[in-house]
Amino acid sequence: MSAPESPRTASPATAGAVAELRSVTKWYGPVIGVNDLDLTIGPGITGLLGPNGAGKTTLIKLLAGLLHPSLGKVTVSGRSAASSAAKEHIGYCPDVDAFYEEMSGRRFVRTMARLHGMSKSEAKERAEIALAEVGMTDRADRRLRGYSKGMRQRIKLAQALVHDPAMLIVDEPLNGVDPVGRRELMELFRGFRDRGKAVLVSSHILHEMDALAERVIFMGRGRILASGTLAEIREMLDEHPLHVRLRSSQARELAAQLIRWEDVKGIELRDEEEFSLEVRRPDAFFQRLGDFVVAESIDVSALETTDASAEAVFDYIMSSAARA
Amino acid sequence: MPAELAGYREWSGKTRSPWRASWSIVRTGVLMILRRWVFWLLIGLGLLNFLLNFALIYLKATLTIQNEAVGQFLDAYKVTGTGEAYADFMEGQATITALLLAFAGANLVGSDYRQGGMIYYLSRRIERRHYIVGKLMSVGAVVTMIATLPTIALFIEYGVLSSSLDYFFENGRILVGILGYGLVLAVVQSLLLFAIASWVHRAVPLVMCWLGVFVLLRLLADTARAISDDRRWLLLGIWENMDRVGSWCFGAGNPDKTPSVGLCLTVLVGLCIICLIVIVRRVRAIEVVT
Amino acid sequence: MSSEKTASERPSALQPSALFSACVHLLRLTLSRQFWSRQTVVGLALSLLCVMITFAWTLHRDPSSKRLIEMMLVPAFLAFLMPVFAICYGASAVGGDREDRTLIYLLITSIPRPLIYLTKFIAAWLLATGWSVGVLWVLCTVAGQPGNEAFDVFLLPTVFGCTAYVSLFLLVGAAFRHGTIISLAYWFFLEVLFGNMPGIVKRISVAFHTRCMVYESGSALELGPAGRVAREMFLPVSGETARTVILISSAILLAAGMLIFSRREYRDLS
Repeated sequence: MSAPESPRTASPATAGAVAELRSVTKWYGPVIGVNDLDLTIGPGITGLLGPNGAGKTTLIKLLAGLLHPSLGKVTVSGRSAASSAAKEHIGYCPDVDAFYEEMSGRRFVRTMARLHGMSKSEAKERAEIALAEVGMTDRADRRLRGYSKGMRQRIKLAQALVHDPAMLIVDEPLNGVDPVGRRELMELFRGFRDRGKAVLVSSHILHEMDALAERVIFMGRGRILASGTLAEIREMLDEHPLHVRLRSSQARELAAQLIRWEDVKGIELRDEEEFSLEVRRPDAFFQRLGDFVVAESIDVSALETTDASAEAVFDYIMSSAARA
Repeated sequence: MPAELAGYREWSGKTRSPWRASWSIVRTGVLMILRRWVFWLLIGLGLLNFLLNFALIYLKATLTIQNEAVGQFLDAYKVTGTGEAYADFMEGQATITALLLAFAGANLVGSDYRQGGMIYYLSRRIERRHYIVGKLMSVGAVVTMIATLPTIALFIEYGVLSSSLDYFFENGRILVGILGYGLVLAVVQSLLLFAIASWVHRAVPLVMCWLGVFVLLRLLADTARAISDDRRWLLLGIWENMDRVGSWCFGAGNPDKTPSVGLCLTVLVGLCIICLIVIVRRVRAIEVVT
Repeated sequence: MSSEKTASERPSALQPSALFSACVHLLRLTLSRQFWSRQTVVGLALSLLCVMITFAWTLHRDPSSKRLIEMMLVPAFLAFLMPVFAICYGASAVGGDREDRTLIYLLITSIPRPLIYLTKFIAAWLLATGWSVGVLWVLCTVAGQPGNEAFDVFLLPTVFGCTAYVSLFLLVGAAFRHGTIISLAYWFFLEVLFGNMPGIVKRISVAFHTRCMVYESGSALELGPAGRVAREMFLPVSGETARTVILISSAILLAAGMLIFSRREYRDLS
């Protein structure tokens, strides 16, 4: 895999960067947490993926100002992430399941708003807006200790949203949330993005990252292994040709034509109407295929990639990293 | 799908007695405590008393050879080698044990309530009694490490620094006394600590309760005795009761002193029974969600 | 979010008024969480026990202020209850949040860390001093006329003692994971053991200085070590010196705590 440019940009425009890491290294005694990271996070939803111990939580805590880098610099909205000025711009939803248990959800969110310097009336208003966004308005008067895991997750998100930050950092937000709730939370993140904000989501649920994240950052052994859109990263994986499944009434004829193409590495005929291909340079291939089927009036009833999902890309990157 | 197809198969090994689980609980508990540097700090502070006594025994052995009068002088004050000296040493160690147990209580018992450890333990093939015994033995092991083992070390030191092995043969009662005093400390303190920690799980209130039991009850006992001029009020002082019974194991202490050893023992047994009842009632594998 | 001002539109750091409001709210939050806790219940029980002891004592002893102070207030209140209250609220002000892992919610707010620490100090000081002075007043009231005299003697040393203990135990709670136990070990070994040793070693203890203040303010009652041996063992300093030492050491401990808290990474929070 070719190394992405440095500094890596997880946003289309560095100029609109919300957070930046410059040559950041973090040591925990003799153990390295993250190693020489260069990263820019801009508006939009960015997924943070990697196995346990990859350095995701360290990266998140550095951005939230909870850890200080051993080397390098972390800035949020142009200010050091550890400064109180930067924390105005960050909404952090930690993965830890701890609350002021004796409080109700509503009071907890209002308390967090007050701790961000809001007046009583402003805190009340913003807390209601945040609770409405996470769908907890009707259930926020119960004590936190009686909440289900999904409800607690929503309240944590509400406290992160309450001061309307420029960047939302969420650590494993979909854990313990039912499928309906997950869809609602994903809609919430998209709504936040639509307002021009940045969202950094760390998650192990890879297939939901497909639907949610516009850009992903793959981490391993404290380093960024790849970052960009899934399609961009997939294209960089030269040693793993893209698997494409194609269904057509003229499968044999089409396969015979395609095998001569330079970008097609191999073809496997499954039955009379279906075959699969291994493709290099997917963008060029799909452009040429589109032109070809139109020109030749070939009937294609199904065309899908089988290993371009976040999960498949994750597996390829991890296996490449293991060999490196 | 049948369980066999899913890869499950019947357990073919033999399960051992659940009492073995109690031993595992002890081992886990003690290792958990040993991993904390705070414990070693407290042990280090607790060893100051041990080192002082260790040095005294060594000095006495050395000086006696040079000048017998010095040895006689030290013997007159019963500084080393006698039942009284070991009882005094154990009383001093027991005070440090109280500090250690304030720490151990929150970690060994309180954390099981706060972090769901009890549900984890009781979901195994053991019953409440195995869990309770395991936890009590863990606390008892901490007491033994601080009070009983150093005293045995001093006893051995004194014997091997003498000119023959006669000291060991002539002072078997002292060894019984050390073990007896250690047993009293371990049993009473472990039951009392477990009972308190089952009500107050967190370190701060636990420490406050624990100190209150040992400091204020003594003060109350002294005051009540002064009012009524009745020494039986001293029975309120749990620490003094343990010391009285422990000293009796050494054959030391005045048997005619009021309150009698029998009364002290009765109070301690009664206290232990109450603690046991509290513990049994408080150990439940139920997670209450309010 | 349809709000009046978004974070990006607001100034980057909190305005002084907003910062003050946030700190006041944190103070109220800390006071309420610390007060409505199990340690307050236990503290109340211990105080009741002390009141009972004092009441029992007054039934028998000569009702003299000197005896009340020497036999009840110094051992039960000054040497036990006051440090216990300070440990209870001081060590747990940051340590309790850390144990509950709720400290993370304070660390992600816009309040600068030194101010969080200072606010916690004020809350812990108010609680520890309030409890101590309150219990002292009850004890002295129960003791009757001698108690009234003793209250005047103890009031200032109690406030000074609480200030020193709280600043120390708050620092320990912020710096160490097992702050309560370390505070307890400090109290037992340095305050109790070293405090009763001969020589000047005892001058590192808070208890020594508070006792010196008590002895000076109670000089009319002939308080303090009697006889040559007791005086040479105790080696008292003047009340003025004791007050100065307590104030300077409290200020240093508070500043050190603010520095440590603002730089420390609390990795055990998640």
